[in-house]
Order: sequence, then C-alpha cells, then structure tokens
Amino acid sequence: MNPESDPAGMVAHFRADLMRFLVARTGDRDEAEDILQELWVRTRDVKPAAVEHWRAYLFRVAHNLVIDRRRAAQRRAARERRWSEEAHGVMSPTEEAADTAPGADDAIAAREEAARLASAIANLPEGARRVFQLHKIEGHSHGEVAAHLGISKSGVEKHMAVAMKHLRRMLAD
Amino acid sequence: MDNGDIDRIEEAIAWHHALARDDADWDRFTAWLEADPANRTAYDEIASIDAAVDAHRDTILAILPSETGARESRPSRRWALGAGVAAALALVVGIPLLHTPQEKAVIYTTRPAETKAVALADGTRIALSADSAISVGGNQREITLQRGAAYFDVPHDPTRQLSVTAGGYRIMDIGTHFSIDSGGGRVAIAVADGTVTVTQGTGGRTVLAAGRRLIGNGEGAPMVSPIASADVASWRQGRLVYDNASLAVVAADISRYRGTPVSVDPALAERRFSGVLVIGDGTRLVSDLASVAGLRVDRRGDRIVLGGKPS
Repeated sequence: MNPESDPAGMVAHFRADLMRFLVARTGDRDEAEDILQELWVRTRDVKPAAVEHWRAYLFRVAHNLVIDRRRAAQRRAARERRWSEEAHGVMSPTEEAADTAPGADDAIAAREEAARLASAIANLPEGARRVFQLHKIEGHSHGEVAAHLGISKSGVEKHMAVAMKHLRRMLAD
Repeated sequence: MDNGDIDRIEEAIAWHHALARDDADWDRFTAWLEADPANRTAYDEIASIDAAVDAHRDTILAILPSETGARESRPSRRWALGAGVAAALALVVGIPLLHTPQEKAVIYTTRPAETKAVALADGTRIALSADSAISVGGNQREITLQRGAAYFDVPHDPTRQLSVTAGGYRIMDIGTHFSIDSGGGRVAIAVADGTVTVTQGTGGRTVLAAGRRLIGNGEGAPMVSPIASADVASWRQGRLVYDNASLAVVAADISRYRGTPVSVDPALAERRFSGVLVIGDGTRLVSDLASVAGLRVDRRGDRIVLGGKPS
C-alpha cells in the first residue's frame, strides 16, 4: 500500500493540521490526542478507493468524533442527574431494582429527551417550525422545503437559523 | 446575554450549516474557534442540539403532526388495497407523476408481521419488511427509508437515477437489486446485483458492488464486508440471516416481527451473533435466539429484555 492511500499514513501526514483543529475544537490537548488516536483506529479499515479527498474526510470524521463525545457526555450527565434525584425519592427495594436497570433507565431518558425536543419544536415561531420540521425531522432537502413552501433557499436557511436560536433558548436549563 | 453572545450564536449556526457542505473550509473554522474560546462553547451548544434532534428524529416524527400531510393516517384509496392482506405480500401501485414535481410524498408503512410490495410508475419494485416505512417523493425518484427494512428492485435506466436516503446515508442507483436495513443504531446496505453509490452525509463516498454490504452508524467510517447475494433481504424468504451482527441489531429486527419491544442488556448489546432465525409468525424468534445464543429472557410487561445467563 503506498503512503498516499494508506489511512494511517494519511492521519500521520495531516497530523499537525488535525491536532490544531482538535485542540481548537475541544480546548483540551489531552482530549485532542485521544480523539486523534480514535481517528486512527476508526479509519484503519477504510478502503482507500472509497475516499476521494483524504484531508476533508479526516477532518469530517474528527469533527463527528468530537460531537459524539459531547453527546455521550451529555447523556452521562443526564443519567447521573436522574440517579441523584431517585436517591432522594422513597422506593421499595424491588421497585428500585426494576427502575434503575440500565436498559430501562436509558429508554426512559431517551423518551424524555425526545418529548422535550418535540415540544420545543412545536413551540417555534410558525415559519421556522415548518421549515425545521420539514428539513430536520421529515428529511427534505433545503431545495425541497423551499419548493414545498414557495420560498427561496436563503429563506429556508434564515428560518433554520431562527429555529436553532429559539431551540437553544428553550432547551437551556 | 449581550449582543456579542447573540452574534456568536449566529456565527456558530452559520458555521454549523457551512460544515455540512462537501467543500467545508476546515481551516477557516479552526481559525474562528481559535479567535475566542467562547466560540467553541457556542458551537458546542448548536451542534449538541442538532445531534440530539438527529438522535431522536424517529420519535419526534411520531409525536409531531406531519408538515407534508403525507402520514400513514392520511386516507387513501391505495391504502385499502394493502390493508386487508396482513402477512401477505400485497401489491400497491404507486401513482404515476400526474401533477407537479412538488407532488406530496406518499408514505407506505407495514405493521408488525406484515410485508408489502410497492410498485412505482417507472417499474421500480420495493418490498417493505415488517413494521417499516418508506416515503416516496412526488417525482418517484427520491425515497426515504424512515424505519425498518426494504428491498429495492430497480430496472436499469441510465437516464434516471433513484435516490434512497436512510439514516445518514444516501444511495444512488440506476438499476440494481439491493436492500437497506435500519435499526439497532446502524444502517446496513447490501447489494445483490449491480452497483450503487453510497454517500455518507457530506463526507465519504463508497461504490458498493454486488455481493458487498456496507454497515455504518451514519458517522465515522462505515465497514464494507462480503455478503452472499442470496442472503440479501433474506427476510423475503422468511429467514433472518446474520453474520457477525450485534445483538442490538438482532433485537431491533425481532421487535419489528413481534410488534413488541425486544431489547438487549446494554452490557451485551455489542456481543456478536452469527446464525439463521426462521421468522414464521414471529412468536418463536426470541426463544430461538435465546437458545442459540445462550441468553436469558426477562419479560417485563410486554417488553422483553435479553440478558446474559448467570455463569
């Protein structure tokens, strides 16, 4: 395998750029190193022919790994919060055993989060809500949403930005 | 919050949008992050809301009334054809393009233990597995697998391209036989005949030939492995064939055939299973899997949790 098409070789080749990005993105050099390591593991089995633009590809995977980690940390924090709330409640031993089984707990947490997001989306300003729902929830492209609502693509982008701003405010604890 | 923070959030939203594109400028994004540590916090907030919405998209879709009015509850004459033929392969004929390209999407769904065939005007045939849903765009060239599994038989026509979206993947096809399975936190795309092109979000692009299967979670690098053409969409022959699949994936499939949730102790979710399960009426799948894989069946109301056997 020549160095131009070997995933590990490519990670090494762009190491400095990727580290700079990861340090800026995480604000933590140790975490950036961890993610770079994970990036190497994750891309090890990528068939070289499948990836056209290595640099952009590695940045994209690194970017997604950071987002995955933030999501996982969020879920962990929510779980811990719930546990500490439960610890203050009164429960019989059997109830406790059933309710705190990891599977059930995660399922409840997922339902709660989904319901919270759904209600925040339902409460968006009308135009932003329709655009957000069509694009993010029902999976239509910006072009399809624009055609469906008879607005321009930049109108769709503006509505999306308004939706994100509102959601951020509504979901802030 | 002062105006600086509001600007920052707007910039973060603009970056989030820009980074979704193929030609994302990662160096300028890095420079923006380096300009002020608060930019990173703003970006984290926006990206985590977006990721949370993506993670719960199916549930949110089920909660919110549809914006396109194309939900399964929408009364339709075409529905009546398939509805009475549970567990049989009913043929549903999609309407040809009558009006404008913005014709509303039509959604086809199946109930647990029901399969259904959908024929599109251009000759494409789609077999829908149990408890699955696809939406077919008005122009009949844009299909979304919303949940479950489907098998596509697309007649060869180089002048037209069919696009199927599932999870974070878009499959482009000008004439092949292939299947898509979603559930258990991943998407599997398997080709029985011909070649499809799979793009992942705005990232990698994979050309997938007959006898190959791509498995991924929509993020990171997908895995490509061989699959016997006869095993592609084996559910059409009443069998579920697994080769090194995670138990989470097997449980997700069984849930669709039983119609009640089957989950796996998270400690075992990544344990691998290889083997064949006979679907039958769906009721024996749990006990068959449990005995083959050596699992304990824990019933909690109508939910079933598969756990490890105490040693």
